[in-house]
Amino acid sequence: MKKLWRNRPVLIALLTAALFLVLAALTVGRRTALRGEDLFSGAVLPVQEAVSHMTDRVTDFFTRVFFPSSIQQENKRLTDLVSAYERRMILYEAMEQENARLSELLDYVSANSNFYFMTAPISARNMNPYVDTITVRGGSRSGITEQMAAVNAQGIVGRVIEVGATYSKIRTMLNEDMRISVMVERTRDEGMLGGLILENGQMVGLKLYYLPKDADLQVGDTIVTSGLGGIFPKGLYVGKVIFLADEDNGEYDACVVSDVDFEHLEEVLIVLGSEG
Amino acid sequence: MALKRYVALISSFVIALFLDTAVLPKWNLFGMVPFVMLALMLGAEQVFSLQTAILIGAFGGLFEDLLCENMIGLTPALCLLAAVAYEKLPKSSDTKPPILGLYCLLLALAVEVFRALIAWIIGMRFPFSNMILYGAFPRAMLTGLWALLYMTIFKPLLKRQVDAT
Repeated sequence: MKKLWRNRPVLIALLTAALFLVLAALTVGRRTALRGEDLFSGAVLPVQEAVSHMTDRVTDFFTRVFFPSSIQQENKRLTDLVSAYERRMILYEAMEQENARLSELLDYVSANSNFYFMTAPISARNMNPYVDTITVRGGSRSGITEQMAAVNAQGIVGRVIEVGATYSKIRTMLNEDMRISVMVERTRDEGMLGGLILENGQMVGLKLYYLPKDADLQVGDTIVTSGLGGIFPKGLYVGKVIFLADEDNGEYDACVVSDVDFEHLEEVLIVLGSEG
Repeated sequence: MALKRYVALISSFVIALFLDTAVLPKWNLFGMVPFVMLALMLGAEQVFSLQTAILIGAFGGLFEDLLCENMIGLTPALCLLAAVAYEKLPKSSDTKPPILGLYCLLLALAVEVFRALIAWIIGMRFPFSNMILYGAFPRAMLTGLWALLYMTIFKPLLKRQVDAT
């Protein structure tokens, strides 16, 4: 064999080439790798990847050195892309929050199916520290009239005090002049709710008064609308009693806190009416 | 000196393998890349022997096929045929480098055309216009130049080996 290798290399080359051609013909169009191919590729591929990675690094370096303008263009393109994505992200988050709020309102509407509601997005609010008037989209053309109740998923928001053709103004529960007729859900004792209880200038809750003297009021009791006065339909959730007033306090009987976040309102439900 | 020759050939072989399969596919101008393994084989054949060229052509072509091709065996077969053809071409130790370069170019061109034709026969695309502009011809030209470079690198090794003997 060694002699043949020395004297007849051309013959060996031709024979080997023929064998390789046969191998090529056998491997045309195959789908799975040969075992030897697998082993060889497995051994060499990590090195090949390392070489390829090194090549990329060197290419990057020379691109930065010799073609800085292309890097700048790429940088600008990517910066614009990131800005576009950030804008889209903000929109997406706003939509997500809106979706959560509207879902809450929808749940509230489903839970109070005996009332007719209309959703009204808030279009303006005054800048007082204690927001007491808000303006919503939707007015007389939408069927809103004065004195209608405004609620959201957390409770009573206020009542409509002014109606335009396409807007309405709502006086919120935070207004000192706001009064609503309520009752204790558990004992059915009726009273009035309105006016702020302040401590060191901070609002603590709303005053509950005119309860019967023998009323069995407890901390944690739920307060709902009583329906008296004809403005707020009966049974709408208002808030919870957080503390009872002292015996000698003639001004109010208890403090009720509403769950409504008046500073972050974005939509309200206007109660257009109720069944029956 | 034989050790130096082996070291030079093996390191050139490894470098050529990675140049063909990892580096040059990324570093090229309009896709024009030399076939470094073929150039190494022809350079080694001119300076050393046909046997050396057969080993380089067979293993180099096979390894490149294993790494990059779906059809195993075509590249080493074409390399071996090119080695045999180069052996048969009229030349001597005094033949001028441009002539040797031209031989290498023609053989590389033949290899490229055969590869393209076989690819076409088995149903792959045959980019005829690209063959002339970016494909076979420029690739063969670069391969010829690269082969001349290898001849220049390997020649001192052979001379020292002859001197030593």
